[in-house]
Amino acid sequence: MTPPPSILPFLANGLSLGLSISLVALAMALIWRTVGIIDFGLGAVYLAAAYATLFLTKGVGLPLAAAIPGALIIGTATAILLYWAVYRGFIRRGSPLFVTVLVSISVFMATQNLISAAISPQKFYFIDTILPGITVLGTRLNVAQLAKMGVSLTALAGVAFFCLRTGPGATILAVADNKRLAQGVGVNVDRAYGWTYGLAGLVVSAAAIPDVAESGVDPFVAINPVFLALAAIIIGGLGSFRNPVLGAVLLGLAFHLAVWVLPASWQEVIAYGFVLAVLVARPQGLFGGLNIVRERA
Amino acid sequence: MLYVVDVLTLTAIMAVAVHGYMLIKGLAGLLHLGHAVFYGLGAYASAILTTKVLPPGSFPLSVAAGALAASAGALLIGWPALKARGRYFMIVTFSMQLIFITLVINLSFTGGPDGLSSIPRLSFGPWQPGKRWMLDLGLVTLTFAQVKLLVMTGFTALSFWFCSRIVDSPYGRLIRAVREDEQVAEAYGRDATRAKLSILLIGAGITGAAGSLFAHHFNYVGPSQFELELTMLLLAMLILGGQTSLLGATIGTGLMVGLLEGLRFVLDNWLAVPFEMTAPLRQAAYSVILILILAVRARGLIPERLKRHGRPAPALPPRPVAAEPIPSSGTVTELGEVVLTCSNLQKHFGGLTAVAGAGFSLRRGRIVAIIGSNGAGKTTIFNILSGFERADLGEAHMGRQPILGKTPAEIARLGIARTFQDVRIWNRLTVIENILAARPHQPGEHPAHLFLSPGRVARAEADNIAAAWTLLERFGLADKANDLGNDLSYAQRKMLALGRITAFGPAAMLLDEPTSGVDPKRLDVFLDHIRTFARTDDRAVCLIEHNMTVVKELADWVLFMDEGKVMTSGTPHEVLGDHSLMRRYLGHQKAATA
Repeated sequence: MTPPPSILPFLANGLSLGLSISLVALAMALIWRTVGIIDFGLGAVYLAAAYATLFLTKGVGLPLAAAIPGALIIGTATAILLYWAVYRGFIRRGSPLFVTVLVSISVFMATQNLISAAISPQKFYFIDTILPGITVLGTRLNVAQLAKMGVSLTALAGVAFFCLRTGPGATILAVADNKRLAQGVGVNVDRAYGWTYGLAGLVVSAAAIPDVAESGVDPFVAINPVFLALAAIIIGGLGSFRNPVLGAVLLGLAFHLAVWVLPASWQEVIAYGFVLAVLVARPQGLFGGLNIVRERA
Repeated sequence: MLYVVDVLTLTAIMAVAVHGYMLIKGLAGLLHLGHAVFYGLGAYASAILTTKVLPPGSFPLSVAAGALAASAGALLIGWPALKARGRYFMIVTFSMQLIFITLVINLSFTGGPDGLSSIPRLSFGPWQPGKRWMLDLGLVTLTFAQVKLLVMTGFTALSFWFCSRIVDSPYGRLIRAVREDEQVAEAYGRDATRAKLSILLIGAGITGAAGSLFAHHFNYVGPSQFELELTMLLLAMLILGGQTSLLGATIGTGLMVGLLEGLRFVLDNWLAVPFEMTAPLRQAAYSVILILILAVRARGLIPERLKRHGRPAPALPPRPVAAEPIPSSGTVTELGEVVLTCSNLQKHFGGLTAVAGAGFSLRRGRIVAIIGSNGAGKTTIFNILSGFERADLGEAHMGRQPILGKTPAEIARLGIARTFQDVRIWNRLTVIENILAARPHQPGEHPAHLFLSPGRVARAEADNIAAAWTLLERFGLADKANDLGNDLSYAQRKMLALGRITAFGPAAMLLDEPTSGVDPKRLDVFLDHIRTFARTDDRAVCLIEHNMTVVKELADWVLFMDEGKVMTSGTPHEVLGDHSLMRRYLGHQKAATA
């Protein structure tokens, strides 16, 4: 029997993946807590940022670094636009959660398929050379992976700063905590929703750009990030905005530690099994707090 | 031509799956987001059995196995997930949808990512038609594909009949009552979790059968056929037609296929869109159609069909059934049998003490009124006695049976029923259905009886309907019998709540502010009814009341509660005549209203 390989590379990869999931999970949690929608439509935002990067680099001919601000703006604008054009009507009508979930899934699916029809279902790559990298903890991390981890940490810190130190950020937290009370003290809820979508869009775009820069873009590239983000929220819980981030890191670790002991094909089964176990044993999430899934829909 | 037959065959199969979805999402209101899993379970079960286990010609057996496999899957998902309410089920089923595909790809007996092919076509025992098989009927000759279409349409008709039996039955009524307010269903002795689980199993079974039909139609199953896209398509079909209508579900399926095929035709023939773009455009189309339906007409094309219950012809000349006038003064001297006793009940919510050692007993034919300011613990006592809250300490017995720790349904079946302060009638049931759904001992509430002993169910239902009409007349609601509960005025809803609890026929009635918000001019009618519960029907009645006129008029015995304790008790004359007590009570009331 061969000795098991060192655990360290798996930890490093798991952490990298976890941080990447954490951004989309945080964006989803922001909208879920504040607006009250489980927004799979963030997948459309992810695609918008990804394809904007593709268009700005391959179509316009900008270098990747110059394309990034444009892609961030387009992603953020897409999120706000989706809120204004699609979700706002449903929210105003007081549509139940099930309806808004269906709408958000439909937005995501329609975007995937429209891109597939209008552009191409095939994958485009940005970088075709082997990226330089360094060896950390016995695993080789390339520049894109390091950049992703850096971006994730920066974005998480940025969201925390925005929410805790700025006026619009404070309105988001207030509405997330208690919408009626926030309304009562004069917070413009509609505007707070707009800010939430803008912030979520920016965070998702920040997750999307390094992801696709590393591994290319196709119409279905957003499926995994979005559904893993949901899984991270289930694992971590929605008690505070820290919980889904912790959930994402745990999920990333589970994903890669599963490969440490089992064949790679079981990676997803183990990860989703983890989700199921949490759903059955601790539906409020491991870090608990607000038991959002048990509220009456 | 072959293409049209093929599309129609698939439509017929999908309609069966949408019928299953209608039972789960429409009839039962379960937020189910993983329907493709049940369809896939049925398809895979049939594929595996017919390619690896069963002899050729086992199509009927295979369909039954598909149904069973899906029901078994539903049991696994539903048992843990349905105990909780609402959105938890949605998240679990959605997760199952994502996990199912991953599992199927990773298991070897499902054929992994390649799926399973060479699934036998329709066959029955020795009848195993080949490719060129034809059915010669003299005037016309049918190809195998056409015969298959007829068979699948037959299955659609069968599932329509089966589901409509369920929807129109007492069982369907129970499921709708649970959908509208499961706690109230439990307060009337029904096990809501079991009801939800049973309809989930039935709906999943029908869908699994559809999946099996699909496997035998397509002769191949693979993971990509049962993804979230399929769940969304089935949902779009259901919601387009009207999710609470079986006819709507059927029409919605046809319409959606028609829309998508029309789109394909336009794209292919008029716009000359390249072939590889049509498929994603069709998928985008039904997503957009779903958003549009939800935005414009979320309840779909066809509303829930409400069964109208006609008044049965009276066998005897009608007799006046209005509440008998009963002298309103004087107390009953003869003491009835003790029905319900409780003692030393205690309940704390965090640091707050809601009930601190309260106790009393209820006797047949007697009305006990509990008075006290808001927060005195009155409703908490009702919640404890009806099983909705667990007492921290204390004892309570119905007859000789201890009731603390039992579920609301178990307690109700022992003969205790309650009304709710906020009325809580089943809004989307008609008035007579509200009464019918509360009546106990209905054989038709068990799905198996519907099909195994239909005669017994029909007789019991006829009796129930006759009894319900009598009750509606007694409570002055006969002219509203077939109106939705939602359409009643507040006083009528309060009256219906009294009718509903009478229909259940409990030995002990707990009435939570039965007359609050009622027009003073109509108050007498309410008082007459409540008096009848005790004096004529010989029930033990306990009511929470703030209106001292009502207390004076009705009560044989009054309990004054404060800070979770029974401070004093006595005849209305004694308690209401105690000026210091009343000052304390009214002081509280003033402070509360100030």
